Amino acid sequence: MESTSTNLLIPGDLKNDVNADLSLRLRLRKWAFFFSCVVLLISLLAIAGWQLNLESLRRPVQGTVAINPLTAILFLLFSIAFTAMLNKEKSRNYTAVSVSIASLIIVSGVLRLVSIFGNWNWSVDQSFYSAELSDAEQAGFPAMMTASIALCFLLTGLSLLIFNLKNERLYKVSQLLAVFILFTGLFALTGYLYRVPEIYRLNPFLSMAIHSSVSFIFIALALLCAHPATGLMKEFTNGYSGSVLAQKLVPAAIGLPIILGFLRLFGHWRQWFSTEFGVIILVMSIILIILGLTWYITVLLNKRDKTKQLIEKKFELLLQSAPDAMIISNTKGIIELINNQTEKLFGYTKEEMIGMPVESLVPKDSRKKHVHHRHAYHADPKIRSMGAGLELFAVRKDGTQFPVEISLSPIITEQGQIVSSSIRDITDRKDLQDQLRKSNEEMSAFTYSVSHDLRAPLRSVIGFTSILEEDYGNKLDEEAKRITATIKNSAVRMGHLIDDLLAFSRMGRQQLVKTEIDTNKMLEDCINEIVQQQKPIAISWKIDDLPQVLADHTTLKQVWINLLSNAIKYSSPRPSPEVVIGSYSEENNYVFFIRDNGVGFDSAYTHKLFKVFQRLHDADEFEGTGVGLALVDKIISRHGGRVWAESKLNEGACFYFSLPRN
Amino acid sequence: MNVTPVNVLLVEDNKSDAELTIRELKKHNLSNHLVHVKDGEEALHFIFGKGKYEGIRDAPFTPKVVLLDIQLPKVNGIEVLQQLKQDPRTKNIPVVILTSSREDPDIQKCYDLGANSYIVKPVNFEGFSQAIKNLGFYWLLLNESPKLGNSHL
Repeated sequence: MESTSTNLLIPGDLKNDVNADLSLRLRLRKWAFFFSCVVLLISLLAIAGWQLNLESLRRPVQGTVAINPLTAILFLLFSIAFTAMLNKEKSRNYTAVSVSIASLIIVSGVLRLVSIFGNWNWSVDQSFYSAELSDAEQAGFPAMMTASIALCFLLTGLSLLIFNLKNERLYKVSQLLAVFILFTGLFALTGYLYRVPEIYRLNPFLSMAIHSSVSFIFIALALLCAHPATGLMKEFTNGYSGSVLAQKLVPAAIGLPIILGFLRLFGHWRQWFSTEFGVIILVMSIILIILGLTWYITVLLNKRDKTKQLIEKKFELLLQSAPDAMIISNTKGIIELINNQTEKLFGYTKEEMIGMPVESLVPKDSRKKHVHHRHAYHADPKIRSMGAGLELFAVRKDGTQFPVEISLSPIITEQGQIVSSSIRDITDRKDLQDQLRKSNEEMSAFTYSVSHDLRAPLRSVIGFTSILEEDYGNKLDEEAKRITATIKNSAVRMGHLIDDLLAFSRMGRQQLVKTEIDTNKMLEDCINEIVQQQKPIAISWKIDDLPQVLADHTTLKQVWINLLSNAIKYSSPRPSPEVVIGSYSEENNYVFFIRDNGVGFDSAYTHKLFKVFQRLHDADEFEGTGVGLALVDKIISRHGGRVWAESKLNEGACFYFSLPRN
Repeated sequence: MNVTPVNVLLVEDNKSDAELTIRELKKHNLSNHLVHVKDGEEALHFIFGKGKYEGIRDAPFTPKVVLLDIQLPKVNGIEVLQQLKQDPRTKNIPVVILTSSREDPDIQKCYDLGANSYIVKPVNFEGFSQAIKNLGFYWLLLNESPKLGNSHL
């Protein structure tokens, strides 16, 4: 039950069915209240009639029985008790009131019934307005509570009592009692229409005043509409096609026969035709109506079945058109339905597969585990892939195994839960993955050799050239010394190129291990390293407080080192070199920038900046391999970010890179 | 039996690298009593008195430091390292891996096997020279050698 403070709109009991027509149920509850107000009104008018001696209120139709004062009072009490019952969630007092009044009504009914059948002298219905009652009796127009009214009150009281209980399953009983009351009231009202003497002339068992019969009809309707989500009313209000049909049929089922009966009687009174003729017309019209209804319901049901077939056909087509093998199996693990792809994949025919346990498609050594997993899945079914992170294998009819990827989804049908599994043969993918791995391994071996074997001769070139300079320096003139220097520099440069290329290639193959990085600390380390390696230059550093990021430590450090080296390199010729490092936030990223006041670059060539071996400056002025920025680009791309730069020649440059936030 | 001490065993297959190394050690007077072998097999024979070194002197020969390259013909540096460090008689000999490769798996493996130091030979000459000089000073002069069995040739 919702807590009343938060949800007064929809009491819990109205939401029982998934499909429930909630607005209808809410409306019915409102009508229930309205009906009880009508009863209240009628009762007040009747009591006024006795209080003020107004015959028209006591006996609206001339020559018929009048309403008994107690009857009127009990109607009044009913409407109070009913309203209290409708609001019983709001306070326990309401339940108490409702229950006590209901008991009162029951007691009155019982007492009156006992006095009728027990032949008592005193009767409870004479207790109020006794003087007026005896007057009326003497005038020849007694007003008493008949047995049928007393019985109806007894049932009304019972029904009210049950509705005050918490156990909603008993509400069906209340509603059945209400149906009885409805029929009794309808019987009496139709009796007035048909001028049935037993009804409107005084008969201690059957007669009812016309406004009593109307009141009882409204009481019954109120009781039926009070809890539309329970008992009998549930099926009429749950929004399915049956309930929709019922809402049209029920009024007709009640109204039409009454109208037909009236027409037959009317014709009889006017003596248009004989009794027998009247009856035959009545019977024929009833047959016609029932046949018409039968036809209508038949068409409706047939349409539903046809729609159901179409849906099943659509489902079949969907299954067949799926590119992967699809298997539908039940909770016992038996295959119920498959598509053509499944036949092709496993090598069985449809007839062989249907009825087969799904475990026969699983390699022998995994079957037990599969059964276990299957039970676990049915206990908690979700749309998901099977065996996430595991290598799954399936086995064909001929016994060969192959790797697969499987995804599962549960379907609820009228026969219970079934599982639809989609199976994909990933042999090709695995082959590709193996090839990729092998190719990566070959690449690793290759770069290992390169790193080793290419460097040794370089060392020789540099080393022996240096020996030449050292040992034969006095024999070399300026030109010779320039030549040896050139030889050494070229070799050194080649060494750097090899290093950078290796780093670049390694970057493509490596796994990134992301951790939280304290950017400011990393910058500090980088700057210290660079300063140690080169001779210290007076650079003014302006570094903001930078946010922490999630990134691979080694490679991010490489990014910073490369960018910092560049900043230092290109700004050191300046009289007062300055490097500014900061950051800002974008919607999904952090953006870092490093700005220097160095020589800058021609922004016309910005697009070449991050390409391998591209340089925008003279190698003599600024040494470098042209790989540093390409490496930065590659590393940042692998992190999911991007790099870009801005510059004005001779005014410095600013390099940006973004990293995704978590 | 000679009693010339062996200070350095240089295991290096590349002639130029070897020449440069020896020259630098010589420059700093650290190349006395240096033995140069060209592959792993010869290195092991030298240490353990096998092959052509059999009978020449008491084995095992225990130099003050072994400068070991990784890429060697016949028996590579890793295996030499392994054998040296496994034998109780020779496991205390300081072994300095002197190589071109900065590839991580190599570094880790060498340390796991008990290498005492891992130095990447710089390509540029100044760096190389500095490294050899530092190396030489450290292992031959500064470092206290463990008391080893037979360090005399």
